[in-house]
Amino acid sequence: MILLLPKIHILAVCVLCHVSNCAAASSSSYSEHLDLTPLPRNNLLASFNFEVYSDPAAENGFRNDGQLFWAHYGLFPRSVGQIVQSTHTHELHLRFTQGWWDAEEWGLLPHNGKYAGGSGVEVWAWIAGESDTQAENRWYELVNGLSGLFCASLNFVDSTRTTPNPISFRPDSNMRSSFLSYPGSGENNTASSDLHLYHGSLPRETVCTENLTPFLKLLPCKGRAGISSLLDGHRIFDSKWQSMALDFVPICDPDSGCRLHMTQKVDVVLDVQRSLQRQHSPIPHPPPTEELQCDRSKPYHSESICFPLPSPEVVDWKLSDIFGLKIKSSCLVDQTCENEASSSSVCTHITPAWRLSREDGTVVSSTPSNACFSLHDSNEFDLFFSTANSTSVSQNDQPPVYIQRSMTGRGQQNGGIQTIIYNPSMTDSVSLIYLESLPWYMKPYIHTMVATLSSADSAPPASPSTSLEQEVIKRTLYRPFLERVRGTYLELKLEVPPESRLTLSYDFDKTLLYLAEYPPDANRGFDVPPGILTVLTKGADGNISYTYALRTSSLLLSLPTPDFSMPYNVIILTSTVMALAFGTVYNILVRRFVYEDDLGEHTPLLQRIKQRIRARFVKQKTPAGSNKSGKVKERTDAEDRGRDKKT
Amino acid sequence: MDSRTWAVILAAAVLRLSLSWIFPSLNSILGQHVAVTTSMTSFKQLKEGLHLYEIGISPYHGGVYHQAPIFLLLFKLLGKFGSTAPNSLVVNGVYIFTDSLTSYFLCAISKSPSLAKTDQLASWVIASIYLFNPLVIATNVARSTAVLSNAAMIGSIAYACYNRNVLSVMFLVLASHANIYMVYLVPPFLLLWTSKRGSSMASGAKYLLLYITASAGLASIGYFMTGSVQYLSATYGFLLFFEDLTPNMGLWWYFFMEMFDFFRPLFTYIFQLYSFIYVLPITFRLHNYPLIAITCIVGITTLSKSYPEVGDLGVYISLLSLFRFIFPNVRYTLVAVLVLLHSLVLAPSFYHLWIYLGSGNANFFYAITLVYTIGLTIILTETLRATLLFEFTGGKDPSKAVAQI
Repeated sequence: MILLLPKIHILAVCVLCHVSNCAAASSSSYSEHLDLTPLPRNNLLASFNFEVYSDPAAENGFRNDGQLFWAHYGLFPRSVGQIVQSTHTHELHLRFTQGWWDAEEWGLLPHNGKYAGGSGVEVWAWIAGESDTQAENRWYELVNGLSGLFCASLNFVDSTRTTPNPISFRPDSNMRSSFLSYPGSGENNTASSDLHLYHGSLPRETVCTENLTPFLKLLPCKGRAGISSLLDGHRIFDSKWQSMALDFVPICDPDSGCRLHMTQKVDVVLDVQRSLQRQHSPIPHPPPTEELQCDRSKPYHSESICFPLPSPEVVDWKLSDIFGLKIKSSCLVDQTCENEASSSSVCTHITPAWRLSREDGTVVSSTPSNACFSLHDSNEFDLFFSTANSTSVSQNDQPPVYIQRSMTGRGQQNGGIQTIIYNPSMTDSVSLIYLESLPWYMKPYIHTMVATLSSADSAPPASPSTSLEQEVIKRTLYRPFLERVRGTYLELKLEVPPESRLTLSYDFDKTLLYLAEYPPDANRGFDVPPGILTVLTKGADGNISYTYALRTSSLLLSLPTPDFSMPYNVIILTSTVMALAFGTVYNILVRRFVYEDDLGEHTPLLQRIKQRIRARFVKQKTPAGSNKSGKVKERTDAEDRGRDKKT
Repeated sequence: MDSRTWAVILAAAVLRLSLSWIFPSLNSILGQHVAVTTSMTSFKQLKEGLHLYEIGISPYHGGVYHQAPIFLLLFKLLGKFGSTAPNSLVVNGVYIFTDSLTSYFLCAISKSPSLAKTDQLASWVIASIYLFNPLVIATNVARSTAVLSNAAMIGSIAYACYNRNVLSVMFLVLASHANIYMVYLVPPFLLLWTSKRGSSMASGAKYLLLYITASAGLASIGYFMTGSVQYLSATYGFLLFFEDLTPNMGLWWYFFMEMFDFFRPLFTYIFQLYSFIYVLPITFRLHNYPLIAITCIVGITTLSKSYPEVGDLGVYISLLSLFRFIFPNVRYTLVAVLVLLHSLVLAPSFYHLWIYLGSGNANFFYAITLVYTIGLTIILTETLRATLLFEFTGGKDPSKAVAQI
């Protein structure tokens, strides 16, 4: 710590240097927000949001190929900027997600699912390239760079895990319109078609501290100050669901030019009870009687009989209990020129049943649902939450659609996939895009795909009574797998009528892999990436916008395995059987039959050779052996030939 | 063809029809069983290829479909007459007709001038050996496309026996288009095509040229259908380089699964060479008996091809039934039959143990494929030996003892 202090000091000085000319540059800006929303059953949704803008690209910041070029990054992390720029990436989205979002309890995903990935690591990017191959190579370059930067196995995103150009994604940036017509880029309209979208996912990747640390390092305060100081790996990864997102988008507008915009988000659903228990009693023990909260609705409830509530209703906790830390000062780089673009705040979304208070005991609010605190005025920040009814939470809307995907069938030869999409709306039908990318060792039969529609209450019918492929599936995009080269890509445009359940199912075959292709724990199974569902909404002006996105859970596919200890045995046994067949067949083919009567007496090998040589060169009669009938003997063909010559 | 033979054919047709009507799930159960169908003959994959072809995606663009383009044309045509579900009337009709035709061809071969002078089984026996062979029935009910290619091959033999050589060439072209290993039959077929008195080397060359031209013509259908030669690597390349490791009754799958990456190409060449290396020696040695040479090569490919299935063994046994005259010379019949029965009974159960119950591992099924191969080897070598012995003794029961040297 003593060693670190001078460094921090120097850093602070440098930051101050930068601050002094803030007004002059008015360029790179940074803002951070934390939103706290209590969820049912004593869960807490904490949404961290960090946004950084780079300096605008210089006037002459165009390269020959019309690409923007940044010489100065400002607060923008150079490490990402350089990777992105060297691989000609226009837009990059990276997601680290773990856990399961309980949509029925918690409602809509934060930010309408825009920043939530499927379980594991997910990455997609728009990359410029003159040809598919060039863009694809840049994509591999990009994921390899990101792999090093974020300590994730992104380098395993190869052609088998890459889905090119799915329609489920649209660029966030406005580059298609304004970027290309920006002066300097030339009237090169083909440039837009040169952008290639690639999507890759690693469902098996475990997201952990080693991903969080580099993630925080990209922030101007490196997680040492501001709300990012709450992000402690021990608490974040002890959550029910968490998603880290990094979005990199160029923003162009004609007045101020093009800037890089990077959004970093961490959304966590924390179990408050578990966090408190960890804080207060690390060794679990039953609570004392006076602290027990009983379910009074039980008929047997009395003074002496208590059925404990699954989650207590009277709760009282503070922010530092949940995260283990207090917020250390603010990360406002420039306190003098604070504006909307550069701010640091904590907001809560609570119901009137909750009571908020500050550390000094001042009650902040018990009525307004959204209380926001600016962080620049305090050195350490903490918040106290208390309520007598923790089930009272701010209303979260019902998601427009629910999805559930599972595997059917048994055995390791083949199986099926069943996806159920449920539209809870009473009035409106939902149009969707459903993207599924399967690994190549899963061989789907697309002709077996059956879509059935059932009303919300009843279970899906056993037999496809209503085959509605025409009505429900508006469009199918399909690219079959190719062994060891690419996986299956299936994208469906669907329309689910109100209050109904759409069941999609199809068969697939499992395959065996080469010995070296199995992971060390082959019998655990292989992860199938989550399906991605995007809800489309048609605006008043007729434009279709992507309003909500959600992922299914990933699936575990168990493949048949060979005996891993057998290579030599198999090679030896198979070769033996083949040699046996070869030997016997050739033995029969090269030999000929003779009557035993014609057979000579058995002569020793040496003598036979002598006889043959003599028969070749000397015209001399050899004594014919005496006949012995009734017995089978075998001779070589060559000897017989010699005999023919002699006679 | 006497009335008895027709009765056998009719009974077999009724049996097949009732099997697929009484047990509708039998089509898909057998159709997905690794011993009965492979990715070269699977009806389900054919349906998938057909579906892709109909929605405008080249079926050879992916790793789904590996069969000849001609099947796509055939089943697209059949689709116009009705559903092409595995137990639909149309598909049932085609497969039953094909099997009946095959048995008819087999009877015709046994009555052909070259064989009629030898000791022959009755036609109805030959027909029922083919039609009531459980392996053949299973292959038929599984809707394996091998049924069609084998029918073409046997048709080719039948026409060659009656000196309808051009038709014979055409049938062989069809057969080898669907199953590239049938190319190995060309050398013995050349013997058959030129066996007529007065024919010369030139006529052999003529038929060979015809074969090559017709094959190229048929191959170009695939090009015109899909617009690229990609289908060649998806069908023949897939078969030659052995890309699908799905278990089957052959020697390849486990060997290449366990083989070290570095040696895999080398052993692929060796295995392909292994299946070819018998062709010319057998043709030369059995030049007096081209039909038996063809049969032996069929047996060899059953043993050594990359995606074998039990239906091939059914065809091989049916072809053997044509050569009654060598039966007295065959030894170890009981051993061979028992070994094959043993492997055919245990193969599905061991596969079940491995894949569904998890109480056995891959070695169980692998061991059974080795036993199956040994059983085939015994039959093969004994057929060869019996034929050569017959050739030597001239069909007379040898009063004198005979030795093989």
